Amino acid sequence: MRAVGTGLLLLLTGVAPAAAAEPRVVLEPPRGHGWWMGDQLGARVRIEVDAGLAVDTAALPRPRPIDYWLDLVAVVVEPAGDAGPGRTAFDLRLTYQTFYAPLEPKQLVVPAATVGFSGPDGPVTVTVPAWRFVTAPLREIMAPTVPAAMRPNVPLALADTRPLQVGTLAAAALALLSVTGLAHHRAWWPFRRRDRPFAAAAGVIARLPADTGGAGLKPGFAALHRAFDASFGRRMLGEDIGDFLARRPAFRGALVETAAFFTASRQLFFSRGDAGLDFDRARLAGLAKRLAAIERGGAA
Amino acid sequence: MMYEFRDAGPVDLGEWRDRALAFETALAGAVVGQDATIRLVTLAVFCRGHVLLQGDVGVGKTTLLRAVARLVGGPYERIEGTVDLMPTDLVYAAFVAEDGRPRMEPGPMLRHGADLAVFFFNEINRARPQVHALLLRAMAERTLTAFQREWSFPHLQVFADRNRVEREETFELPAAARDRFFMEIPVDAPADPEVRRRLVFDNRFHDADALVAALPEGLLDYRRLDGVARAIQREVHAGDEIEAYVFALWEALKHPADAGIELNGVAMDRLVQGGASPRGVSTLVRAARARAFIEGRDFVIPDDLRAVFPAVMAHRVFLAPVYERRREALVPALCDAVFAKVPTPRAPAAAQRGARL
Repeated sequence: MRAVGTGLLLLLTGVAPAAAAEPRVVLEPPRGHGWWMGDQLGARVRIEVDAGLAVDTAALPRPRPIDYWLDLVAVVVEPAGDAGPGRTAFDLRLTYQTFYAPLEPKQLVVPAATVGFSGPDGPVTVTVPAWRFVTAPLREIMAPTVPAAMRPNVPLALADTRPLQVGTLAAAALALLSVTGLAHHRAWWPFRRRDRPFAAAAGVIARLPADTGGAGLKPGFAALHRAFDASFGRRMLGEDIGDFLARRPAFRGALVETAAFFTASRQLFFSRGDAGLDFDRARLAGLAKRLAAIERGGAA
Repeated sequence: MMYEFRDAGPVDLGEWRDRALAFETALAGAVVGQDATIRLVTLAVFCRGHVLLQGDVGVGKTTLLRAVARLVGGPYERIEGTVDLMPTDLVYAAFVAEDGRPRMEPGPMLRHGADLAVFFFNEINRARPQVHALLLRAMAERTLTAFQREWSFPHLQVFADRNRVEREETFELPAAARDRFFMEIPVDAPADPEVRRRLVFDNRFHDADALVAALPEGLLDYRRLDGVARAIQREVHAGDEIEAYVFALWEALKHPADAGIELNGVAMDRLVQGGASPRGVSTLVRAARARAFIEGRDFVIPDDLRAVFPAVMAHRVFLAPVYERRREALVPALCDAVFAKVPTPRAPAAAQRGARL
């Protein structure tokens, strides 16, 4: 007899996981009394269902006026982790607002709500049970209605924008200062600085027409020569490159191109012709830009 | 490059450049630590210009000149300047012959006739102005009148030296005389301690005769130097840009105040009184061409002008009397300032504006 009972039990428990277990609903209603007209009441509901079921958002209670005295104002549902083997839990928070104006303390009923789940075996509906609360009048029923009974208006809250204005102005000033500093550093207009001769020369060369070559490059070469003069502190000739680098070691990285520039310049200005000049406009512009970069302490 | 000359046959400038470098190397072996001086002397030789060396006593001026004479080859003569030296002493040798009668024979300058290649005048500032005058004509025209006829010295190159230590019993060269020297080259004792140590302790440098005798005689053939010098002047190109630069340098040297040059404690508008003659400036261009040739270029660049400028131009600038005493400091500073101030090369538009200078 006992063995048979155990066997039946085993059979039942063995079958049980195969069938869908009942959803479990734990309702945590707000306190049962002490509510006035206009109050919001929050109810927490924990729902445990079989794993694999998901909340069907279309089948949640919809925030809406439920009755002439009761609104559902908010519905929030979120997963609450595992609830034992093969089960999963959801947290449902329902917020109601009462507009009932009772003449004396009175118990009201919040009606049951349903939540739909969808799963592999079709939809499952879970019912959140109804619950109750006691609401009371705000004031004595026979008290006269006088203006003095009215609470004063909430003073008009003026948003103080002064800190924001100050912050905006400060940020703008900072931005302007930064741009000015950058322009100064890179010798942009209006900072055509005398101590940035290579930047000025690079500007002159950049303004030469793109197809300039041969003797047409002379103004560009001359501009770069003047920049070397200014940087060297006196007129610089090709044989001064060593002295120049000793005085301005930062330009050491451009030694090869500088020497090539002076060689090309001699050919361009002083030899019988500029045939075979291996210095085109792009190379000249590249050298000037590189020297300008070194000059402002940038890349070598 | 082969060029034909009536008097000298074809000149291969490439080969002559090798010879010029060999000449410099040989000189540098005999006179150590004087590379700058040697370069200038070489340029003078290849321009057929007369040279005045000046420097302290015992820095190797005479050794250098003897070495140059041996390497150039050809007859050379040498005379010491003294207070009582007379012009005739250069030209005639007067003596009493064995038969007891006075005789007059060709003196140092005439002894070798037209072949005379190098003439040394030691301590030229000890000789009297009469002697200077004779020498000036010999230098400028390469001719002399003696024994009732004209003597010509087509290959003559005059080297003179003077020491700048002594001022007593000396006759300062007149401006005209200085202008006729192609270059005035300062010779200073070497600054390098190692070179100075060698000069003092190395026996090789104690016997100047042996040092000079070890040099290859006639490395440069003095008879062909004139043709080579002409070929250099003809073949080395000095273009418009160099012309403009030379004119700008010239203007800046003559009118330093206008060029914006300032020297400490000097009234620039009164500093330069004269000089920087057209002859001087043409000499500058000749020397620059020779330097371009030795550097292996066939065109002159500003660096050439700068390298020869002090030697060629410094002694042709005449300062106001108040500044003449400080000449040795002021003139080099002025030359340096000229090169620090005059821009080159210039953009085409700026060059045209400058052309009216």
